[in-house]
Amino acid sequence: MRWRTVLRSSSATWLAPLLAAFVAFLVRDDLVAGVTAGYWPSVFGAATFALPFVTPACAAAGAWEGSRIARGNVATWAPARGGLAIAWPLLLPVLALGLLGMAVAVAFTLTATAPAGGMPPLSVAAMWLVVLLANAMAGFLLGRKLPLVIAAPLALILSFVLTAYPATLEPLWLRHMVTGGVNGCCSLDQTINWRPVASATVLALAVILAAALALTATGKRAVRLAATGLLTVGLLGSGALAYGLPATPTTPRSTTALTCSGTEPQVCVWPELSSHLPTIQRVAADTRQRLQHAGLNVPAKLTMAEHAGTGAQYIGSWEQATADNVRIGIAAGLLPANPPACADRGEFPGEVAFGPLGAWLSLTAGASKGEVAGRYGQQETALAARIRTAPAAQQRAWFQRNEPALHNCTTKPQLKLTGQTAGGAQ
Amino acid sequence: MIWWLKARAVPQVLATVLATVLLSALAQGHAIPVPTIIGPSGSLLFGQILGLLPAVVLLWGLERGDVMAEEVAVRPARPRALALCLAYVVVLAALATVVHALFDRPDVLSMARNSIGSLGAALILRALVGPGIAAIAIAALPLLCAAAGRRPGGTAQPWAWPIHPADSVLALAEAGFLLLVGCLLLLCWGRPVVNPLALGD
Repeated sequence: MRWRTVLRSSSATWLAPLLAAFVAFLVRDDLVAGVTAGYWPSVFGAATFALPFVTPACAAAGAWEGSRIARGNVATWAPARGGLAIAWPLLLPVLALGLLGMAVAVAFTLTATAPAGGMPPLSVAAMWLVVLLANAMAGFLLGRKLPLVIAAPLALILSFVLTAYPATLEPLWLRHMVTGGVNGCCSLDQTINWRPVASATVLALAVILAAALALTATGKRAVRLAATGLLTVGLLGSGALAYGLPATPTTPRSTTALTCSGTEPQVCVWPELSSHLPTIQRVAADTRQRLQHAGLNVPAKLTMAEHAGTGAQYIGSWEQATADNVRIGIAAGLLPANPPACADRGEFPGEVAFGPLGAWLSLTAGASKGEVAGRYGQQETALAARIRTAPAAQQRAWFQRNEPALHNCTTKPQLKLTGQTAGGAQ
Repeated sequence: MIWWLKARAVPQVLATVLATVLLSALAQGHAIPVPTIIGPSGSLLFGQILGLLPAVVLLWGLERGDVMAEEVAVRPARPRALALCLAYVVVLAALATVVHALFDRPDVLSMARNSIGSLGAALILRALVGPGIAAIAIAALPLLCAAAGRRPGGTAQPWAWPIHPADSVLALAEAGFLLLVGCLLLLCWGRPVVNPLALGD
């Protein structure tokens, strides 16, 4: 078919501006809200948020094309080409419509954050392609069976329900079979988990194959059996891939991606922050100096790898390279990340010490009081500030007396400093 | 009369109405989460979109005739179509009220209200751009309202009548207004103003 004819008569042509406007105006706020700055997997992961709105448009356009074929009665006119060859030029604009919708979504997430380097996760884009094609072909089949006025809205609603409803079902991993599980992706130390992406792709491929079979093969009984078999295999395979995944599945990022610089201290950050590395290193050196002056031991290697190893310290994984983030991150790295194992079994008296200790460390490191209060709480920060008015030796003793309480369940912390006069600490 | 009823797909419409009432009574309270990150989490109750189905089947039934023949027919076709639409509204409203009174299912009420409002909107659009685009538009309307029709506090915007709760008088008034205008257009206008895709000719 001539492409000009296809474009002129296709439903995708007049749906395209409507879909683009829908994504641009209604979904935009949600798209840019969750993007991690400068990180390609997050750009594509956040854009996947628009997928439940783009697939109904593809399904409705596919149904429109299918009902056009049915209205033209093509099958009774001894066609020279098979069903799939007839459907293909009609479905291509529908696929282009879906890709346009997702491209608009990616454009918005890209402008929200401009990734400096790295590769876009093309597996996610491939998953989009396959899911959109599956919706278009399923809609096409529906449009061939039912009249247009019923098929198009039905395809739209069904596609939306099938994409959005599994999010309410238990167990949690069912939703990854239709959405690909990349919605919550990703902070800087995470990357896309291939399993939910593969799960959604497998199910969509099964739908495509079953639809292609229904379009080409003759012999109704055989087609029905084969299509049912294909769908069953697809569901089982997709379920097996998604089985047991949590609600937001991610894979930890490989630590070989970290870029390091400096010697005393050596700071290792994710490549997205590498342009800020000089500033981070300067602030880190100052922070280390202040903490060492207060009597604490800060290693010479500071890294964003969660399992830092000997001689190194984990400084958190934040995306904005502000001075406060650096200071609070280094300070927090001096405390244990998790409560001790005994805290699950019984009481943990050291729990109340975590806030004041963390706040004191952050204030000593030079972080601003507002940020510290936002992170550890107003009261804990106020207590830590009061502690800071005491002589240095007393502060050190206070810290050394209370810090062991975070490691076991028997030490009771003594947060109040004896003999203090400022502000009525008692 | 029997032929006319069959031609207008009235048995199919009735069956769909009964099935929809049953489904929305069973699906009471179940909702589809509309993905949002910021703002109030949207959700579409099943009852709010099930009402589309009988409206769409009725719309199809209205299109099944030959437009040219009906315009020159001796017996007026358009008042009969209007009577069919009004009978649909009455039957649906009565069924929904009875089911709600017996079993306390407010979702069935909102399904009936949404169906009536969608029918009105579909009749308006059908007079303007034809039935195909009208059908897609009324299917997209609940999605549009779920995506953009909520205020920051979580209540629905005044214009987003499909997602209003079942006891909302404003939504009922809006649906009724749409039905009124739709019926007027159905009575006065035979062919759509613009029929870009040449349906029904």
